[in-house]
Amino acid sequence: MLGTIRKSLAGRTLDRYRGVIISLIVINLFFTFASEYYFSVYNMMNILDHSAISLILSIGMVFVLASGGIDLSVGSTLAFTGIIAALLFVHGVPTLVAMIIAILVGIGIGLINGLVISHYKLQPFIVTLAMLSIVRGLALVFSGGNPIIGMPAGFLAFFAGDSLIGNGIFIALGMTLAAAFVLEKTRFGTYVKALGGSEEATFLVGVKTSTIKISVYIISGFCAVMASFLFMAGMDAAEPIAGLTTEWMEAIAAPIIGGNSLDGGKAYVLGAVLGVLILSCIKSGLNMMGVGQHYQQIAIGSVIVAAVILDSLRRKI
Amino acid sequence: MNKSEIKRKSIEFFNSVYSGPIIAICILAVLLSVFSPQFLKVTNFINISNQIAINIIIAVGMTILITSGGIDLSVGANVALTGVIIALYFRGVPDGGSPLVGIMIGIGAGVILGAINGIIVAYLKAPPFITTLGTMGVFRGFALVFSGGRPLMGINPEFVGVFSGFIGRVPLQFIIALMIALLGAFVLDRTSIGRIAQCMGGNEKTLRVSGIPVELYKVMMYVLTGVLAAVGGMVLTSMMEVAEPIAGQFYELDAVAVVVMGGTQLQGGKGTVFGTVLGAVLLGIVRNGLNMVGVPANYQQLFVGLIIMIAVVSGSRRKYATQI
Amino acid sequence: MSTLVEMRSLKKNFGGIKALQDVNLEIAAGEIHGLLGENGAGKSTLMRILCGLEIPDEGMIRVEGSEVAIHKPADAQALGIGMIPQELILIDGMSVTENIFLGYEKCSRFGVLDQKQMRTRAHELLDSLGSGDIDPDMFIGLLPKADQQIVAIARRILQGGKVFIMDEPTSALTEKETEKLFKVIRTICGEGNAVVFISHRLEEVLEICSRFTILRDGKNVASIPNGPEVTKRDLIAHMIGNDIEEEFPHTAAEPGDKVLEVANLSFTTSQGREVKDVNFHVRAGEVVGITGLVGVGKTELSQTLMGLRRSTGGSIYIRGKEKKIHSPVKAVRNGLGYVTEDRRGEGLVLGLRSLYNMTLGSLARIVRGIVIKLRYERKIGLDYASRLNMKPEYVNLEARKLSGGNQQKVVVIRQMMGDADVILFDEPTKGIDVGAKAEIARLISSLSGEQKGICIFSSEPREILGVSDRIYVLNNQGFVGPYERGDLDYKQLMAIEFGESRTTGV
Repeated sequence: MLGTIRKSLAGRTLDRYRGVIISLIVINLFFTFASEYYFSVYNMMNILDHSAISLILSIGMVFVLASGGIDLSVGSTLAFTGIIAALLFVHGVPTLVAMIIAILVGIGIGLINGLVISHYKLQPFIVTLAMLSIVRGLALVFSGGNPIIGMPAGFLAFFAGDSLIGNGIFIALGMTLAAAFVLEKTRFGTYVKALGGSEEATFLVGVKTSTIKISVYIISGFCAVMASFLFMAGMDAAEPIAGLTTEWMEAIAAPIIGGNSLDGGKAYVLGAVLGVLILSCIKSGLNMMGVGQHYQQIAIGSVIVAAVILDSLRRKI
Repeated sequence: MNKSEIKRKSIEFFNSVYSGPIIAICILAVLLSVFSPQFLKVTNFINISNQIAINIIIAVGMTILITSGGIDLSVGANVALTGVIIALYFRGVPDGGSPLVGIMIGIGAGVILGAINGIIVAYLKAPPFITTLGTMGVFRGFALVFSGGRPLMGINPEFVGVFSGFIGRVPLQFIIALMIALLGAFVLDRTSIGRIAQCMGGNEKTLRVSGIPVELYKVMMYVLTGVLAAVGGMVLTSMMEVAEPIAGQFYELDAVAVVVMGGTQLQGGKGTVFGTVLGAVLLGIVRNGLNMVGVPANYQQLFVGLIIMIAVVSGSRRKYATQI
Repeated sequence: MSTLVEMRSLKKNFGGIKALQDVNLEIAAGEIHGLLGENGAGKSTLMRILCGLEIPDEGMIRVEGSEVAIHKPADAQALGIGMIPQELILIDGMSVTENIFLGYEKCSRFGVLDQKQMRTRAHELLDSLGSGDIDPDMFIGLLPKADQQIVAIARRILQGGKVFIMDEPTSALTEKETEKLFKVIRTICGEGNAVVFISHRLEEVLEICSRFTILRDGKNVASIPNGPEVTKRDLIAHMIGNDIEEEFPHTAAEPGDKVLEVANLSFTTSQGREVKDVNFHVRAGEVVGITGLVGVGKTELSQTLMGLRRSTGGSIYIRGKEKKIHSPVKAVRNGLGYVTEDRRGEGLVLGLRSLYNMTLGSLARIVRGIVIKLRYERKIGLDYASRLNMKPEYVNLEARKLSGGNQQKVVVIRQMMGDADVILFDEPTKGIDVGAKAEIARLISSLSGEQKGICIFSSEPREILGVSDRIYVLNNQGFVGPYERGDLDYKQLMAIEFGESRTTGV
């Protein structure tokens, strides 16, 4: 297993993420040789920029996974809250108000997920799977099936920015640091990990496990909204099919690649970051090689399967 | 029947798992026939039966799989991929190919796709829902790659005739679906495979200790699901006379929905194909109703999700009721 | 010494089983109170009541003089009473400090952890228990069992524990680790707390406890202080009483050839101990009993024979031929059958009707191809059910609805329907009432009458003595035996189980 006595932070990090870091390096080397366009400042900035959305979703997912659950509805929440915000923007609602409403909707979806899962003691995957369908449908209904274009200037400036790299990645990093702090340094973070480690033990010491469960889904919903803001700023539009193809699967795969477990108990934020980077590099590299979108879907799907197999093998050890 | 017998049978009926869907069907049918004169027409029923045929075929496989404690979210992608592969065969062979070979290729594809899922879940002990989520992406990707992202025409007309068309006024695909349902019910209730599926969902350890090769049977369940999804793909390709790489989207949700509505529990152990068929009929009527009201097709997913949620929540309550 | 806890006239029934009949217990401050009794005597029920995990049917509990109502674990916790169960409810993936403070974290505002302070306090706590060498940052899962135990104790101290109930705390510990644990126990009792010590290891109990309460069959038998005059023999005598042994029907059968032979088998127990050099054989028509104290490794031995567990050495011979049994599929194919200890968890598919549970192991017999002959299945199900005096209407009921005894019958019927040559029974009469116990014993005898070789693994000495033709014992010295039927009486068998050789009695 992992490090025993408290080594230096760097030492432990290297131990735990050895495989992931090596994979990241290998992947980058591969694509550098496979395509002349890959290794450039421009492309690296691009990768970071595009990673932002997946990173925010993955951060929320780390909370859910650590508690022993899973949230399949994040992609739909991303789309729906985007549509809501865009509709409000287009109808003249002040930018900040519209954003707050969208955030409340996202939190509301997470709240429903958490309540149903904890109160009826159902498996998270089926509840969030149903929610995925429901919210996706809502997104289609509210948008009429069409994208909504024209985001307010202030919104674009904050979430997209003008520079090469864009503001998205910084926002994502900010959220990442906040998440890491909460998970490592607060009582709440301890309870999330404890819940995933052993629900029975956590319950027996008097922790309100249902509150913790609901909270992590709310966090996941919130992250979906933030990711949605970045998406809309990037596209200058809100799309009802946003997050449909691979983003939501990446949000699950990235943390698992980074060492988080489907069983729960682990909250490796840095692992999720590395996982997101790996997936983004793969996507970018394939793009640079001229490989079509379709192959990319195969690649991402295969990576998910591989990550899951890895996780299950890891648990045996 | 005297009064007390009627009372006893009524209580039995209401307690049975079928009462929910049957009552819902009756209520909906009444509502729809009141609100829309089109509903009670024979052409409409034919329409409904047409729509639900593929769903039933896939859901039968899903019923047995869920009963055994598994699940397969890649069936929709399977449908598309199988269609694409068969279309490529028919287009690639100079004389248009033979329908029999087409069928064999389709079933072979189903076996392979199912086996991939089954081997990963059974031998590598990966959790089914997320594994099949991943393979869903992979299969869909291959469908897109093989077809170049475009719909493929040129399906052998004899092949089309095998799976679609009419017998009298009844759609052939519906009859096929019913036959598969009958077969599925038979397998689940009266064969050793079905018995083992029920045990696997209830208590895998018991099976193992009794010397039954659990992993092998698990793979069998996924292969069965894969084959039936492939059959669904063949039916769809015949009905549409084209193979589309984006076909089958949300088919997996529909299948899970009708299985759960029909009373089969997600945790496994108890399964009913008859319930699944009822669920499919119910979903078909719901869709039909939505169509009549004018709700576009892609909004309907919203309702499917709601149905799954309601079915799963009420299923959990029933579970607590019987646990004393 | 003031009385911390007083339990008076406690009664508890489970279905038809009288777990506790009018039981009393007094725990004084500073006391290490040994709670002794055979399996099923009522010790764990009594403690579960004290911890709020069960509610008594009748009786009163007083804590520090005032009467209290303990309805849930939180109530007991508030009173300072808590159990440290054998499985230790700790979270593997978290550190020592995190586990100690779970639920009781020290925070600043907003819930930010004061990790430095907690770490220091954890270290202090461990130090005060004489275990300052345990690293507060270490992951629990990596600590040896003894240290994990001490962390669990530290946690209870932090939670304000006054009464510590320890259930078989030393079953996984070495001698050195046990000494370490005893030091810790003495320390906390020295501060006015009390420990209830439940253990089968009589030498240890004599060493550490200041007082004993002994239960038998749900009743108080004795409550005596420890002292130089109290011996192991006295304790055993109290525990087993001088009752006449129950009648276990036994029909002697003519033993045939060896169906199972085990040579120098070794394996690891679930607690990590290695058991070596197991040698025994079973002949057709014979009943071999393998017994020993709880936790000694009997279940693991049966699992190894059945291919559910890897052996670490040795060989298994079935009908004279050596077989490598690496999986239950192989085991069944080679003629082995298994009746599990945990019949609910492993032995039955509870949601399925009992008939289907019965035929699970012999599907080949009731099918034509893959189609099940339903009518035939029902017929033989009813047939076997009547053989075992099981009411015919139970056959079609869901297995979860049957009583424990009937559930066991279903599992036994499964074996009878199969065509195994050797049937392994793991704790066949655990948790069922006396009538059903006799019934099962009769079944086992009749199975042997059908020329099957039976091997029973049981912690209940009376059952072993009543049913077996030959007895082996797993104790702290290894695997000893065989003893022929009639060679041993109850007291002698218990002595061997506790690790004393027959000749040198205590």
